[in-house]
Amino acid sequence: MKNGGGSALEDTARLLDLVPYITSHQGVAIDQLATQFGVTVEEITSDLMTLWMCGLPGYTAYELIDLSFDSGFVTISNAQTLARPRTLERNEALALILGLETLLEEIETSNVTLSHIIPDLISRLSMLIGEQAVLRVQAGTPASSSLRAEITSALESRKNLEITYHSTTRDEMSERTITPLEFISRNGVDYLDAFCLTSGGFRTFRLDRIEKLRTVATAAKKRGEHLPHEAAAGLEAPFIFTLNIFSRPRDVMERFSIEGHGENRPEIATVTSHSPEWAVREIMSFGADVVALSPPSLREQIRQRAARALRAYES
Amino acid sequence: MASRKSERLINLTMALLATRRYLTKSEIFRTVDGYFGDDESTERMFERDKDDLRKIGIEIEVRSLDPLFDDESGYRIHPDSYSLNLGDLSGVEVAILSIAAQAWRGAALGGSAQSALVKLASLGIDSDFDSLPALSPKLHIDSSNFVPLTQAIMDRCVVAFSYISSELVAEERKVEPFGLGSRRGNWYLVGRDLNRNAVRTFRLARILGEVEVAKSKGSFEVEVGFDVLGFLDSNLFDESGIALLKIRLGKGHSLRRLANVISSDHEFDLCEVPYTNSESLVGQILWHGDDIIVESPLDIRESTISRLQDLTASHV
Repeated sequence: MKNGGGSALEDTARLLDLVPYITSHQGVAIDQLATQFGVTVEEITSDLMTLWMCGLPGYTAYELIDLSFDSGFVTISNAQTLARPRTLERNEALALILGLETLLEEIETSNVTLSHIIPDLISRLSMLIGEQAVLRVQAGTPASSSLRAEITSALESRKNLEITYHSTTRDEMSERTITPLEFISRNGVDYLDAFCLTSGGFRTFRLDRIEKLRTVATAAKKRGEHLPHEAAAGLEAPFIFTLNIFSRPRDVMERFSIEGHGENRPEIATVTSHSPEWAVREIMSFGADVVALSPPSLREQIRQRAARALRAYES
Repeated sequence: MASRKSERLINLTMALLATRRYLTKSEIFRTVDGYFGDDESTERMFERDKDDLRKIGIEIEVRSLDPLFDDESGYRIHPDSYSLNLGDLSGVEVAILSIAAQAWRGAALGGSAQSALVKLASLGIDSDFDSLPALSPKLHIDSSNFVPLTQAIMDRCVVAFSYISSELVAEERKVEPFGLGSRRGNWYLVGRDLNRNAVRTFRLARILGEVEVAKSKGSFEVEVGFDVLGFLDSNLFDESGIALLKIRLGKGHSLRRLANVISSDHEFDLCEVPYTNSESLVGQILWHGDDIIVESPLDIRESTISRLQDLTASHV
């Protein structure tokens, strides 16, 4: 909601768009208009008062826009000139095109209807802003859309889900039954917060690592209904370790979520993680551009794991 | 709250839309409600109004009415350029467009997506979701620089920003922005770095603070047909090779997705795995410890072995 209205120009754009909307939704409720247009009921009422003063040259009752809105429902007449919606502005067309591109990436290619309709809509919208412009801003994102839709419906109907999950910490596939709680998004990655009935604790799952998913008939508990000891059982103690960053500092810091740049760039950093196994794997993937300083057990595990891999090359 | 100015802009739009012939300024000032004051101030008011309407996407056509004297111009708004025309839209198509708009919930172009939806709803076509599968796309663009950058790309304005280098130093960059694209969950800006006079790629998340957009438009040219995703694919992920890897049974799931199994024994699958960047492939192999053994190519095998030796030496 905007406070006290935007600029005169934003107001004008909204007023122009109100006319075709009301024309195609005669008798629409004022509060629904406010929601659609993202402003308060007071602002919509003031908009309607303004529109009522507008019309064609002459400005007699025959030329002025006629509105009735005193009972909370709005009808409009004598507004033929503005009855068709305005063409899309550049950002509006771009928002739809990028949304469609994302959708296209996420549908299965076997869906013949959609894989025909979506490119056709993209090309029609492209005419509004130019083909060249469309090539210059493009979305190409990994899939998780149909998964998201199925989870949303499980959330709404309070159903449990059976998932096959790829745990990258241990590089293992596991079958779990979970109660979905909510979607969260961090650093551009989608996660699902859930209560995992298999392990008896709250868990967070990356959507792109859910390999399979099936809704099960059993009803889920609400968030507060899980017993405290169930929740506590699921929490692993945080694992804290120290790193010495020798090379590729930007990549290292992005991977371990370490803050700081320029003079604040740390050479030695302390990281809190959820598992020692994750720490071992992530540190090793940098191949000694980053070295673990502590705890000693972590250094030991890295050395042993590297030595074991080396032996495979000797044989 | 709507003002006298909005009222005048709407009256002007209606008058110019309704007319079949071009109206002269004096006709406009005489008949359209809201133009008061002396000649000079109404003139200024009208010029500003024309600019304002252009800012919200309404183009006023100007035509010289007298071929001998070009001081008498006529004005109108063509209904075809004013109104939304996407051809005939079916209920299914309207439904798809609204699902596409929902991808922006809470993200950079959320407001534009919503106002586009309102316009589509105003076409009075009932959307038909019944024949569509459940879909819920999501765009992850929370960078406050996304919208200014798209504007700068389309208007061809130079941008300046502070960028975190690979050595973690904030560097001032001045760039002719060619395009924005997303690959593997990251958004990239592609453009000519004016200090280096070379086309470079910048990750959006590594831009510090706000991008500064220069005022002057059309200040550079972009090659016709420039395709940002094509550029990213051939520059960021420019190698293409196939590695032969031994992947332990039941392990290496993230690499198995792309792999082609050639043979198996009781311990390992021998797999062909395509890759686009050898440094990141080596990183992935190291991540898996002794669950993945490189057979070929030789440079990846040797670089993996030497990295493993460094790891044992540095963690004694």
